[in-house]
Amino acid sequence: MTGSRALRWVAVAAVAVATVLAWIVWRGPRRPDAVAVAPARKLPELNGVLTLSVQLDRRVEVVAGTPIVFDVYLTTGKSAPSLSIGRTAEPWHSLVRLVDDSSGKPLGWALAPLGSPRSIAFAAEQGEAKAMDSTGNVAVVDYDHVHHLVLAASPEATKDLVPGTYAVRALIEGDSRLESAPVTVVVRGAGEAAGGDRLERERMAQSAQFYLLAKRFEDARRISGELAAREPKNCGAWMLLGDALDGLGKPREALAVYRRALAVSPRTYEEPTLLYERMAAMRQKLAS
Amino acid sequence: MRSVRRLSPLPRVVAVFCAIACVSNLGSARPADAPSGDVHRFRWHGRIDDVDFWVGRAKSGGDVNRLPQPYTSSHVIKVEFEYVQQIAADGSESWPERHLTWSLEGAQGDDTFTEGCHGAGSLDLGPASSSGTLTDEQRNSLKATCEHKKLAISWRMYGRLESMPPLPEIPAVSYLDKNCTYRKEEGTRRTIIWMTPDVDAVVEMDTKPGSEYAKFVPVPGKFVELTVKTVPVFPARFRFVIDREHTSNFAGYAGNASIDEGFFKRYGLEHLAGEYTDSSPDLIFDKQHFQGSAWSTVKQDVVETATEQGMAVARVSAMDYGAIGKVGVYVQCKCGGQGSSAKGGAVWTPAKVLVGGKPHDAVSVPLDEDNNLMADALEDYKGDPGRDDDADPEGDGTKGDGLTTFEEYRGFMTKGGDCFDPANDLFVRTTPRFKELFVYASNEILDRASGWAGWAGDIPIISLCDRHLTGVSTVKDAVNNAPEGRGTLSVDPDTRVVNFTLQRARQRKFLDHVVSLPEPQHGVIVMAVGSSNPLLGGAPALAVPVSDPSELGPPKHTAAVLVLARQEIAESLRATMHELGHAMGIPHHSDRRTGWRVRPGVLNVVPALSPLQAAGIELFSEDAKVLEGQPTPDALLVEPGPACTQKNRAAAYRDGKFAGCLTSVIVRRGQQCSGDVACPMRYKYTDFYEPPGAKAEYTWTGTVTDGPDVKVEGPGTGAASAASGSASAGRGIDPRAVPEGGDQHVFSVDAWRGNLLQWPEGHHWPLGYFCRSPQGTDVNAAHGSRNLAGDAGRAEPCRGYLVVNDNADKDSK
Repeated sequence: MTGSRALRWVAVAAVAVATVLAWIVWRGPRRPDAVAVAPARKLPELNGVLTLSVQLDRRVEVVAGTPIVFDVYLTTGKSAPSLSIGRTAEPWHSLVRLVDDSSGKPLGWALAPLGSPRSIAFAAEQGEAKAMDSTGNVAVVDYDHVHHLVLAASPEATKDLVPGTYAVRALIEGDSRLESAPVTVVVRGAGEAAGGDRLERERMAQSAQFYLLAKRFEDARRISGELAAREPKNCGAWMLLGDALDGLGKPREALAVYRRALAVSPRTYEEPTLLYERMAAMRQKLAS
Repeated sequence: MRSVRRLSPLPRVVAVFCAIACVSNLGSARPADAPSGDVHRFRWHGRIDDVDFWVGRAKSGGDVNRLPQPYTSSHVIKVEFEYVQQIAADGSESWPERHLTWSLEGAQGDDTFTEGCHGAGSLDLGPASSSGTLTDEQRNSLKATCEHKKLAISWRMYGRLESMPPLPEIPAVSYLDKNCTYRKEEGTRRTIIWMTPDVDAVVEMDTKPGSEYAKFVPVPGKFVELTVKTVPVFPARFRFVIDREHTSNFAGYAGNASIDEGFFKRYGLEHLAGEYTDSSPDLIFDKQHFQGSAWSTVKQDVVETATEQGMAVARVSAMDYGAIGKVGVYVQCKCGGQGSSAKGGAVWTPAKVLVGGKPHDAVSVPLDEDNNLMADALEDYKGDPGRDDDADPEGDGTKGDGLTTFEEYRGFMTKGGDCFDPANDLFVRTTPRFKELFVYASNEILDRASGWAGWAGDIPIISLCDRHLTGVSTVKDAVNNAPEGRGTLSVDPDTRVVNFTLQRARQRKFLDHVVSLPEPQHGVIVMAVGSSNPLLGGAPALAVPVSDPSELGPPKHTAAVLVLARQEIAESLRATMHELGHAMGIPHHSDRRTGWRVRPGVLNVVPALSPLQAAGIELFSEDAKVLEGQPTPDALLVEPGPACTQKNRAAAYRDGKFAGCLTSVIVRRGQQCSGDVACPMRYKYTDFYEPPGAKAEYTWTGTVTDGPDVKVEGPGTGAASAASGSASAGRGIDPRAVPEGGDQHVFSVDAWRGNLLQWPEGHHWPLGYFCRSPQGTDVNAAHGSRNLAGDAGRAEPCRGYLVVNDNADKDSK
């Protein structure tokens, strides 16, 4: 019995070894590095147009400490077929990456979305032009839709940026890549005199707008106050200050500042309706 | 003397014909007057010159002259002839034409006699089976008249004078040299005979609809093939020449595109980079099409075949979307072609050019039978190339869009995707029937919004990238560095130009046709700007005028359209459409435009305008300038009325008593909010308004509080005092340390009264077309007190003001 049991074990072991060998042969050799690679994310063949701007332009000069705001637009040409990107578990905007153009590595500037990603649909219905804003996870990419994502590096994140020229691309990666053209960020050192005053002014203006969008109203109030003191005839600077005060829940102060903005508003063919609207809103807040 | 054998040239020549015909398998192209069938003709030209003068004395023994007078003899004989030899398909030879001109002068004599012969004539010898056949009559007509006089009786032996010119003897082809010439000298007689084939070189261009030539429209890198053949088939060399004088050399390669590296890449013309420049003609022979040994000369404007052949095909490549020119074709047949140069060598003879069967001097590329510089293939571009009479949309009646028909035909590079890579650009030939507006938008949202402005006005919007119009970066810099407190932006008129290639070159004409207009056409730059930009001044968008804020008109008046970034998208869309309306000359619903000058009508009462309106001064008038820079009230005060009670959230107090309601706008009838509510040019911002029959009237200027418990001293005494001295509560704020507010606030106000009502919030305002009628719609057409603002304050709808032609001249008086 002992012998037959031993034989049985030998037979079982032989079958197991043969099974493993057969499996290895059937599966074929594998590259060692393939083991660690996650399966590629499946995306349809991309045929869209990815556009990137920085500070609303394609090239910008900044001093360290200036927030750097990137606008990413995803759309496509008039005749290109439409496609969908993203899903509930993986929204389209989560696929967008900003990379250093020369190295291809992610831009390490502590970028974060500023505001909600937007999917804008343009359409005409019964003689009415409409632009509808939505925040869905799936981007329908065609000519009538523009998908917009704002990624920004805060003033704190750019404070220690090394002076130099940075080329940045946006890309969406999948089975194929959709790349934007690069934009250029030139970071000037503190000692660089060229355009220093202008760049300092831009730092303040951009910071004020950044803080407002990031709902950091105290910071916005501080920096826009400095800007308005520097440019007392700039209606826009006062509006930023008013917006900051409004964000801080100070409608009375905001109203006073908006009135100041109105006082320096240049005479143009358009009425300063944004100011009027803000002033009316502040009065309503005060009344309520 | 070598005897000349009169041999038929048939075997050799026919052999050449057969070889070529068999190899080239040529078609049947043949000039109308060419012999039919396989009959071949050769033209023999020749000249015989015989000039002699001789003096002598008869001698006798001992070298003693026995004659007192010398004997003289001279003659001058000239014969020129042209014979045509014809060889039929069966090899039989005939001479259908023979023409001969001759002259003969001869004299001889001494003291014993004189003899003279003279004669001349031009004979058509007519057809014959051989070249030397003469009838007796012809032979007689070739005889000179001779006269002999005997002066003394003597008996001497003298020669006879020539009394008949020598007749041509046609040599065998084998005696011809490489220039197909035969020469002979025999005593004083020199004979030269040369043979030329009676051959035409023909370029036939098929103009039937659907043919490649008829369909050809110039596109850089695209080509037309020109085929030249000898008829009958005969070896020849061919030369194709771009006629520089009649071929365009426009700057750039489209209305707004210069020759740059991208040009060569886009059209697969990298091999021409560095060789083709802006000074090169717009039609060239691209060396890529002339490789190999078949071509001996390959230059951009001339190519020549290397060897003699029966036909040649040359490709003429366009290098400009508006390329137009002439190509000459020349032939040099074996045996000297149809003539000889003064030095005796063969010359290049123009080939016959048949375009659609009609003779032309040269081949026009592209086909342009109406000679208007534009390809006949495109139906839209007929007639005068210099006209600018686009009629749709009609707008203010100004025809045209600032571009000549030729410029529209030559077309423009436009945005085709991401603007970074020029390879994405799209080429567009705009139509001369419809006006277009060219727009560069700084982001995709504004680009789409601009397109909707076109939708609203039935005017195509051509989207551009920054490289497609001039000075975008200059304008951007000006916008980003705009000074505070100004609503205009002085930018150079050389910026924003769309048709800059011809304009910079100042090329107004080509071949007596107008191709560009005196003034450049401008595009509109639409930019997103941050709220800190000082130009916007509290507006959601602004068409920033170049100089005078009271001027609206075609795009040249607008430095840029600025749109506040990161607004609600619906607001961005509305604002962009509205401002592009201004950039096309459309004023608000309250206003008219005379020439380019805005004539304000009844305007909404707003703080900024209230001092003017209170004093009855028109905006933009000379009187209004007096008040420029003066403080404006913080707000308006609507005096108590049906919509303004103490319960109103905007209630304000004066000396502790309810004084009215604060507001920023009183909507008046027929002003900016009036008319078609869906029109993008209409203001949608409302608060208090004049219902039908009501009228807002200014009452006083002073200060109020938004609470009842503060007394404010010294009411104002009117708008003038408000403007000149009333301090605004907000004016002394230190922006870095805004004081914490108390419970109440002080406002400087202009007070207005009337039976005013307040418009409810939350109304949906549609966004449609630029209005076609001044009549109010929706709430502006409602009955009773719910009628917001009524009909527009002027007779013309917005459509009636639209203008895009920067060359239009308007009297603004």
